[in-house]
Amino acid sequence: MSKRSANAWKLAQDFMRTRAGVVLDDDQDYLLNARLQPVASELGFPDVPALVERACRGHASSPEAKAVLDALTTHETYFFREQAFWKAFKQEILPKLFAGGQRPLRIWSAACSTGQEAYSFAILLSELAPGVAKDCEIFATDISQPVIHKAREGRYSSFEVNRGVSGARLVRHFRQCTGGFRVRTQVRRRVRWDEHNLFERLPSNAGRFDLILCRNVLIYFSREDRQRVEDHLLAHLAPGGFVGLGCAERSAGSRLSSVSPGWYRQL
Amino acid sequence: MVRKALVVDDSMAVRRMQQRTLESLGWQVYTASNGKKALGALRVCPDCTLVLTDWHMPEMDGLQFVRAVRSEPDFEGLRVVMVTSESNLNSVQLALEAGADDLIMKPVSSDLLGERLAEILDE
Repeated sequence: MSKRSANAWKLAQDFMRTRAGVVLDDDQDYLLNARLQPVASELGFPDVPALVERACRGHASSPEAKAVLDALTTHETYFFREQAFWKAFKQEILPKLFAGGQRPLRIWSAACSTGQEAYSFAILLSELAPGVAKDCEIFATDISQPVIHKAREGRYSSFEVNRGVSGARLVRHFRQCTGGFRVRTQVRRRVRWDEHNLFERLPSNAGRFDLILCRNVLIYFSREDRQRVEDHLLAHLAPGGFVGLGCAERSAGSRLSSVSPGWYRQL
Repeated sequence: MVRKALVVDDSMAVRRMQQRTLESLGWQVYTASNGKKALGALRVCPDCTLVLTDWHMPEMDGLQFVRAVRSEPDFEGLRVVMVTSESNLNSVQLALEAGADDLIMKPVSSDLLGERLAEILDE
């Protein structure tokens, strides 16, 4: 790697850590070319270092900054990810939330990526609690504008639905579209999408949520940043609510206690 | 007790991949290259509890095979999953109506096949 590229990588690492809390290790420098070269070409920069320099020194909302942030963020997700998590939701979490009878729930899918998690909740609630599902509010946010756009569209390839969507759910909740399948309107309209950086607080009028999901995201953050994000999430957790993390993740601090695979309660 | 499964596909490469995947999950696996042979295999091996079957095969295709299985009381309780290159919503519906428990679209990696089977079998 040339000295100029090495400097660009250091700039990009610092940019990702300060703007989004994402820690990129030194040995991940292959991302510089693998993910940023196509962006540099698309935006008309002569090379990757030129793109990174502009992105890091410009305004946070500049097209270059957003494109770099998006390209260096991991968007891996799929429908009904981690079977143990969903099984626990059905068998333990939902019965607790409905202990006093079924009621509309408020759910926040923080760092929702391309939307599969939010739609999984919308689908499952329509199956398990059809009487209240249409009144449940699913709020889904992500730092990346392009992935929010894809999520809102609800169009997925055969490969994407094959990861986690059963045949019965495919027939019931999707329709055929060019290039794959589209989530049916009645499911799509149950989710509200917005751009949001986990490093920032939600507006106070966002209210409190019965479930807050932030799965397989905090593993990319430093310990201090995990704590900071966890504080932001917990500020919006309703009394008696639950936080969902990845099944292999651990809570950053002492304010969450594990109740079942991937599910936590505030102490 | 070892669980027994039958893999039905006219491609030897696909049969081998699915067989290896199931064996790595602890299944004892039989194979057949079309629906007609698969029905014969099930009759001599009634303790099979899972069948993975392709759709398009010579002599008897997967859909005919699934319908035949569902019409025989001896095979009650058998889990049948179609693993097929069909990725059309109408085809999925047709497979479910014929009696398939679920459908997995090809191409499917060994890891994904294992994940989907765990979901389908609720393990």
